[in-house]
Amino acid sequence: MEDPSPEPTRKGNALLAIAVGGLVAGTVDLLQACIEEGWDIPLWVAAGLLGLQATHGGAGTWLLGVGLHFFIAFTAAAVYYGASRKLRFLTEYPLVCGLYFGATVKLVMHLIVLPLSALHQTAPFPLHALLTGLLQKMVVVGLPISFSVRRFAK
Amino acid sequence: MIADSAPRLPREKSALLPIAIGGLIAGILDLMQAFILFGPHVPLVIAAGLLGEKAFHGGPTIYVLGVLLHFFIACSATAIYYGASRRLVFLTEHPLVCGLFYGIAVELVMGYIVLPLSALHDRGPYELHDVLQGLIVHMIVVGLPISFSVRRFAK
Repeated sequence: MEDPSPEPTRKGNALLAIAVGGLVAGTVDLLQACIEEGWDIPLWVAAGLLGLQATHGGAGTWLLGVGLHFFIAFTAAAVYYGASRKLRFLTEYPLVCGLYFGATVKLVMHLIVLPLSALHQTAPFPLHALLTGLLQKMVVVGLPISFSVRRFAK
Repeated sequence: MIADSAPRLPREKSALLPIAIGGLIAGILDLMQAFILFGPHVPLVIAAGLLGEKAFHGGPTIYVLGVLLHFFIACSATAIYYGASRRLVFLTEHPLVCGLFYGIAVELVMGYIVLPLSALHDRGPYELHDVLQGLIVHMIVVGLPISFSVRRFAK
């Protein structure tokens, strides 16, 4: 709103905020998923693009999965950054807004992206999976993104 | 908040009005959509959340109890939004986006915390279609009436 800094600095801040937020959120989320579900998780991420046969893929497919994972993490951070340019409260209240954003990312990925992906994941899911997924994403995805946008692009 | 030099009485009055109106509109719209989607027996299911499955076969008293429980929850949800909006001023400044997101919070808390703990012990598993429908419907018929009535009557 009262931002007197010149345009290049603001652009740099945008890239830094999205890069740091996406990197931290993507790294913590991937580590948490690998520790919990096993180190073949990137193959499942790749399977969202290539279909189930990717789960038997090699190192190339594994790297593609990691790349896709971070592409999604950076996209989520970019969405938060973009929204925060109009909705200033996203940088003013990073705790409550970050937790909310993490829940939104979880719901969009789980309820919209996964069913539309090559995995066609439309099976009913248990209560426990939904609740733990929401809580995890609120903390490990939402908070790094919101605090990074606040820190580097307020 | 900053320019709040009004005496105590009018402020307390202005808390009741948004909570009553928001809860009433959200409660009515939500009950109407539930009637359309699930049928007129819905208040019996709400009462069963308190009394257990035997309430499914209850009479008019149980039915009225279900309706009252429903509006109690709707007014509670509005009171929470109102209370939060006293600290988080953006809740009244951006009622569209905050109302839609608040509807998600209400649906998640009711569907996946309260219902599993209720006497119905509804613990899934959940069909994708039902989860999506529940979220979208409550974003509109619960979240928006609450946020806009708090904005209109308690800004």
